[in-house]
Amino acid sequence: MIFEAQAARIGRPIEESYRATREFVSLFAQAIIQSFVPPYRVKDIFKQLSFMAAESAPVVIFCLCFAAVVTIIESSFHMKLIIQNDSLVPGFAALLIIRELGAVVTALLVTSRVGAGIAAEVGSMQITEQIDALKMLGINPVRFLVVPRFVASLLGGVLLTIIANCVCLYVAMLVSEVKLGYTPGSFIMAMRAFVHFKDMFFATIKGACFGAVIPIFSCYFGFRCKSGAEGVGLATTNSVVATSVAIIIIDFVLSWVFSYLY
Amino acid sequence: MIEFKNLRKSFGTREVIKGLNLTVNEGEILFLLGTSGTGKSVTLKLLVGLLESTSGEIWVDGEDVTKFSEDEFLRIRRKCGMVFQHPALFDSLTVFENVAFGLRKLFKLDEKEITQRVRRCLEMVHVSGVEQKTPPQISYGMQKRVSLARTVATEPRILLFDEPTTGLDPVTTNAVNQLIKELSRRLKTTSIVVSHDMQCAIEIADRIVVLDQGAIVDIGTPAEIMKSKHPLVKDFMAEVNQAAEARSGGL
Repeated sequence: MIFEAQAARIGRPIEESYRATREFVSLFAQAIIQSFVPPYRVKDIFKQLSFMAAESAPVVIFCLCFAAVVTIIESSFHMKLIIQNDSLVPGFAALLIIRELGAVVTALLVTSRVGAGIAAEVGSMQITEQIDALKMLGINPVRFLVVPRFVASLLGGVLLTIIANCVCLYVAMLVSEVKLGYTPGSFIMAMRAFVHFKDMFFATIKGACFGAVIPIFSCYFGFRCKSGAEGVGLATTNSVVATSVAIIIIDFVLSWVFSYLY
Repeated sequence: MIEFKNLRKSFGTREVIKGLNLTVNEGEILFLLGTSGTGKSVTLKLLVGLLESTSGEIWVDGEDVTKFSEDEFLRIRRKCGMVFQHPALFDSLTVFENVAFGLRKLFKLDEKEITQRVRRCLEMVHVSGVEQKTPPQISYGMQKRVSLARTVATEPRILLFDEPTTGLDPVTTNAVNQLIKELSRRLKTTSIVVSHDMQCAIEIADRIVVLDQGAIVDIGTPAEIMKSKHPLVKDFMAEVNQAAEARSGGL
């Protein structure tokens, strides 16, 4: 009897974790499959793209400008400390920005802005029975709610990463000139020596992957939202935390995989 | 015809429905009455596959729907219309678009026909002049009626009402109750209404089912239920009698 109770106590969280993982994987798979099934909801995708990419661009650009400044100043400080000059700063900073900073910071900013919004919206729809109403009207909620956000976020992730990298590099170039005295020409020359086309290509792949996971996590937690304001709050918090952790892990995995391809 | 056979539903270790056996006849208005948490809403959601049963069978037009996949349930959901506890209208769409939503998705109708049908449904629920407003811009009572219009717009054969008058004032409650009766009779649908309102059930229902702790404690016509000896039914009836006395100036 005691053994059975203990087994149930241990078994329940395992069963719950298994079910949650299965639901998440199923949602991801459905979103991918449904994205290829016509009719394509182009209007909705563009609407979401505007919300995810166009409206997120100012905050992403603003934050990455500061990130670029910090990158240059910190790199210069530490290089001077170790190798007594900062001649490698432009190339090193450009590589760091393209390989990591642009994509990761953009994804984390979009998660906090867009991911939280999606989780709250879907969560509210869940607790006010709008998701059930969709099902009753013969609409697949994944197709109706997740797919436009998934496609838009994937494209938005790519676009924002490219924009973020360009802006970040431009600001880094300006700071290098003003603070370290490197001309734009010397910055570009150093950048060409360090950065290859592959780096930019891999950065866009990272952007796409990060963009793809944001709406999946957000919708997943939205669909599982418990009733009440607390439920929506919890769904939003869980969504942002889980997505941020996922972005860091995906970044590690992709960087590790790409390291074999350089 | 809808038939529930030894239906059970548990959430974790808590069993909400404990072996429900019930037949809903074609064209009747059946009220599911009971206190909160007795599994009334769950029964409706099990019927249309919004929840999965633990065991038992639900037969709709000769098919056991408990074995159905999500895609197969689409066929059942096309036959059913459901009014939820919340109005469940889509906030980003106007009232007109909300009512037209199911018509656009489920039927291949031209815009003229959709417009006509939406206007007709809104007139049926006595809502007009708000077609271009969004749900947050109209009152809660109106939202409930628009929700009713959206449900009947697709002309379902089975109407499911999950506490359709919750949160409404007495005047609107009465109006919605009359609408349920009117729509069910006019559209010749089979209706299952989940409610706490015994007075309304007595006025509208063909049959009343009283649930307690996930099981049926009494079932019958309104006249039979009024004579019931079951304590829970007596409690419900006492409230009806008190309200009647208050109305006639007895208090």
